[in-house]
Amino acid sequence: MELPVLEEPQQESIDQGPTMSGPDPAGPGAAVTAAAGDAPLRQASLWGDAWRSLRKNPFFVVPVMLLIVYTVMAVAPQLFTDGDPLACNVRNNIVDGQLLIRGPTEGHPFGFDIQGCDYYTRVIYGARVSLTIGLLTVFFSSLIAVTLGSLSGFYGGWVDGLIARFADIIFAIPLVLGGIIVLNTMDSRGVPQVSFALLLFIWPTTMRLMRSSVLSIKEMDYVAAARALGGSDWRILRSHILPNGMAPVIVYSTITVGIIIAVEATLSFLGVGLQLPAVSWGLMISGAQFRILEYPHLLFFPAAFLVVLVFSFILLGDALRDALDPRLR
Amino acid sequence: MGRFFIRRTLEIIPVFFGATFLIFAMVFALPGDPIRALAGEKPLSPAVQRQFREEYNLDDPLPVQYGKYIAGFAQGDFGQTFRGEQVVDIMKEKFPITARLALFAFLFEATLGIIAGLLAGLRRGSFVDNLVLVSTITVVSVPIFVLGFLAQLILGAELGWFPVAGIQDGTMSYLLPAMVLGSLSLCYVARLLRTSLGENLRADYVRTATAKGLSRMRVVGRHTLRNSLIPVITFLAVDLGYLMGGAIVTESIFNVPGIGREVFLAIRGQEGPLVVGIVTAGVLIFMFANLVVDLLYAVLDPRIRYE
Amino acid sequence: MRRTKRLSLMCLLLVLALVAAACGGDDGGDTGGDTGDTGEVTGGEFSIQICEPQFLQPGNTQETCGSQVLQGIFDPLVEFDPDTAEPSNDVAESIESEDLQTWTITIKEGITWHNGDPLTAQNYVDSWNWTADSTNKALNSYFFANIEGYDDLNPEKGKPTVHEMSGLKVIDDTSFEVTLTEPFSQFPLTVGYGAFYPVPEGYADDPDAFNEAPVGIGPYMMDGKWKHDQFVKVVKYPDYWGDEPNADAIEFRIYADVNTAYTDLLAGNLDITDTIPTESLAAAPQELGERFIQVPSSYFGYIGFPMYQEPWDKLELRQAVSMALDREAITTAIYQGTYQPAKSIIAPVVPGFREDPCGEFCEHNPEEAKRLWDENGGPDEIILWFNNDGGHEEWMEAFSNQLREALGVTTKFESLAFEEYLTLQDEHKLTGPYRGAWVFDYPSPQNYLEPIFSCDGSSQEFGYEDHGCEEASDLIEEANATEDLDAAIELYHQAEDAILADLPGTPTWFGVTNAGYGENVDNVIVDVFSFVRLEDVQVLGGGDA
Repeated sequence: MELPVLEEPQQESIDQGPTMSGPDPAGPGAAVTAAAGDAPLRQASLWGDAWRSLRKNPFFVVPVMLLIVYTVMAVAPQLFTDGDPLACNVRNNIVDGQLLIRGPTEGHPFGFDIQGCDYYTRVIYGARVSLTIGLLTVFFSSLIAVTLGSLSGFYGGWVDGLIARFADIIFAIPLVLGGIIVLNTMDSRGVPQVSFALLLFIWPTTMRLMRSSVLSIKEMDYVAAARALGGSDWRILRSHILPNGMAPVIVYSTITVGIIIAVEATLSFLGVGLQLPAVSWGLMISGAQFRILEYPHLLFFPAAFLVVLVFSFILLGDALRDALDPRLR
Repeated sequence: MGRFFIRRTLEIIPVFFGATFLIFAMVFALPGDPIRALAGEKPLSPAVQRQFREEYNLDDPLPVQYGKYIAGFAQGDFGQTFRGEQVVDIMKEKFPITARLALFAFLFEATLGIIAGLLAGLRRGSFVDNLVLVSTITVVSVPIFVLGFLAQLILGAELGWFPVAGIQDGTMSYLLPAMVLGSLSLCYVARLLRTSLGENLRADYVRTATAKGLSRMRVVGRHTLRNSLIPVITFLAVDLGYLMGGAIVTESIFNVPGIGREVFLAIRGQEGPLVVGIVTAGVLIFMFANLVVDLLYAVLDPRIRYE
Repeated sequence: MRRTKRLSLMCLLLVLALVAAACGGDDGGDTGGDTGDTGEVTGGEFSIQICEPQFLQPGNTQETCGSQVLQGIFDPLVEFDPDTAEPSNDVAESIESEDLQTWTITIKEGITWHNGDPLTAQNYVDSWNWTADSTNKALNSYFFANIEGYDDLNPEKGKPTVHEMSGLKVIDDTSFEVTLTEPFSQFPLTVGYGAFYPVPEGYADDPDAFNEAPVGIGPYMMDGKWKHDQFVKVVKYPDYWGDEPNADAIEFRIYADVNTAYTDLLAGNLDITDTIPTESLAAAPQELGERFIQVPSSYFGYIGFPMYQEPWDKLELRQAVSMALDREAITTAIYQGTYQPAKSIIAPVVPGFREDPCGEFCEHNPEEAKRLWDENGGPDEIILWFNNDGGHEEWMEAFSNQLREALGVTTKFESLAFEEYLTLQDEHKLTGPYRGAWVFDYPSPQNYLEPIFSCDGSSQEFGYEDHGCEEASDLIEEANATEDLDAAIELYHQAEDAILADLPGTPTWFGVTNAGYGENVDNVIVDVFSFVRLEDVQVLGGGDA
């Protein structure tokens, strides 16, 4: 799960040194940088253009609709089921004194799980945890990343050096490994703890992305103009650099949400994810893994929901990038 | 170029100290008493427990423990586990195994990834392109342990094409775990190449070349491919560093006695020096890979100059 | 050890055993062993699943994986019958004492180490001294705590000044004398444990080297070094003193995950596993047919109550939880019907087992449980404690669902790393019912009662000492000093009843060992200690496994 390496950050390692000559905008793989750089020229219409092309794109519309369904499921699972996810009895799985975990049957569309719970209810309620972890983690890590990335790119010098070195340290520790260590130190492992452990290790990629955006925008004429007109650092950052530098971050974050949701499941598999009695797809999948030959429904339903959710986020991110990246249009 | 190299090398030093201290502090913060757990539910004589604490400096505060660790490190002593094994011996034994696994994964993702990326990138919007798109996103969406377990069960146990677990069958044993380990990066490689090909095919120099009347084969082969491969190659170099650390899950599923499984167990057993040793080595490898990437850039793309 | 006066039951068993051994002593070499069915020598090699051993040293090995390997490499002084758990002398020629305090151990003649040296009494004395010496940080040190002079090697403060226990004396090449701190009738049983294996001369100079390639006296000797996380290989020792083992060589294959091992067994790459994962149990009988074996183990599971913590000092609340627990449902649905619901403390594998001394309070009775809970001010939330690395999540979740349903409470889990769990248990910091388990050291009802439930039992963590443990403890002590076997068992029963009436912990289930083997091997016997009898395994076709 070495997620921080998607397409955009590729030029990163090259221009992270504080004293290095500015990045070549025409450099290889500089799609995003260039995109952000071109953006101001048609600033007014960038998002508008994007929207116009997006709403006709099935790769955007379908995932958005799916995500709406998931969100409703997470916010109000009662709309989908009137069962209680915690009302379980292992006796449901005993038929004639023998263990039998029933698959889909009447009244129980997804069958039962090992605890004798109605699996449909469990799977529906699982959406909340997965979605919350994904969004929470990505939101806060983006917050850190945008702040540090802007500071780093805008001020340069020792601020940049310090932040860059710190990011290097974190960046070098694989996400799953870092997550395991941090989560092992926790007394209890709920949604906030798991999110925290993950966000600690994912911000550097976004931070570098932001930093390089800022670096290239900083060199733009209109920024120089704003400065010449006596605009304060804060004003320049807020009204010129942030709005234009955010596009790649948003694209990347969307994709990251999907990846984080999958990583949460992996941590549960390793026994350091959420703790019971939490209801999460990760826990369901990891509980099902060694029974899949016998009871395939235990793996199938939560995995299908998980995969579709992750899939939606990644497709959405892709569509957003295509729309926001003028060079690919 | 020389100055750049030296500066980048020097930058590794603070990162080394930062990373070791960070990991050390985290292991230090793990709750519970590792010595108490050594003997499981059986009693352990207080004198023996005291002897352990003394030898492993367990009663010292964090900075002192870290200081002693670094002092030992400076003399080439990486510390030892509670079982009395030298950390350096364990690393010598385990790193080659993971390195081999990572290498196979690397070859797998590079070959297949580039082929898939080429097919998709040259015919955007074609059936192949969409197939690559959907299948790569699917692989990314499925948690790696599910993928690993399915592969083990279907390709290993049911069909018998590959050994199920362990490394006793030599190269054959590495293939399946390597495919699982490399699958995620394979997707990135394919998509990266697809994007980068797409950009380059629209570049002015390609238009010029086409206008000159060069065949498409030649345009792609001579001009576009080389430039498009640059981000792919740099990605792969960095990824090699990541694969080494990313093998925790794969090694657990396939019973590969490599460094990933070792570090997982070491965290569980609160084996401070072992965790720090392995993670630090991983960090150094990763940073080295990064350095190589920077140099590769300069070699591959003449437009880039370091001071 | 804090264990004081010990039972005479063991003494009786012991006398029986010694008589039996003395009578059959001479023909031990050619009758085909004590178990009767050891099968014919087939040659060939087989593989058996283990986990990565912690150590391969007598002084340090205490977990099952290392112990299983050392069983092939060493022979104990005293062994136990795989079916009946009855003791008999193995390497020991005799173990005798007049006062139960000074023991003379004589070993058989003509036994040699794998390096060719003869086995001597000195080897035992050296081994035990090394392990007991706190400077060596041996995990099994505690097993020698009742030998005179142990305290000198384990001082309260500072380092020991001597490195030999005064209670160990070599008499001649084949006999030595052990002086205990107090009379201890079951001493001969305890020396059957792996901590009491000897070590060869020169061991102390380089224990680390020994650890990588242990030299023993058993039927098999190391073939190369221990390949960490991969395998340990052993081959037949040609000059072995006892019966020739059936197979020529064994590969102990190391698996990090029992599920992987089982998959490998099904794929035909592994011959024997003695831990079929719970998840696979339902399918195992079909997948393996007759090659699936279940043997009762000495495992006794219980749910402990922190009596030191309000409101768990209230008997009625403990009883309510015990009655809310549906043992049959969990053993059937979670343990696939392999574990046996427990309504007693003394396990079926030792003499004195009774079906149901617990009575109504171990019966599933949610209505009565609810009544007791409400009438005695049971709290709204119950916190359940367990360690998160032993596969306890599933039954704990089922248990918590039962509590919720029966008592109308909410539940919370505290699942901790083993280290932390043990530490908090020792420090009396648990705040709700917790998982407990016991595996015997030697087959005796006393071993289920005294260590876990007596006032000063070495594993008694309930806080029972402040809540009326005396009655049970006195009965156990009385039983320990009773000569007559039946009378002793009667007293153990009374002690068991007293404990169940107080219910510091409630029995959950007794364990089984679920083993399986592939088509290449046969005659796989698993004993009550859950070990595979290595020397009995036959390789079919006599050839390569």
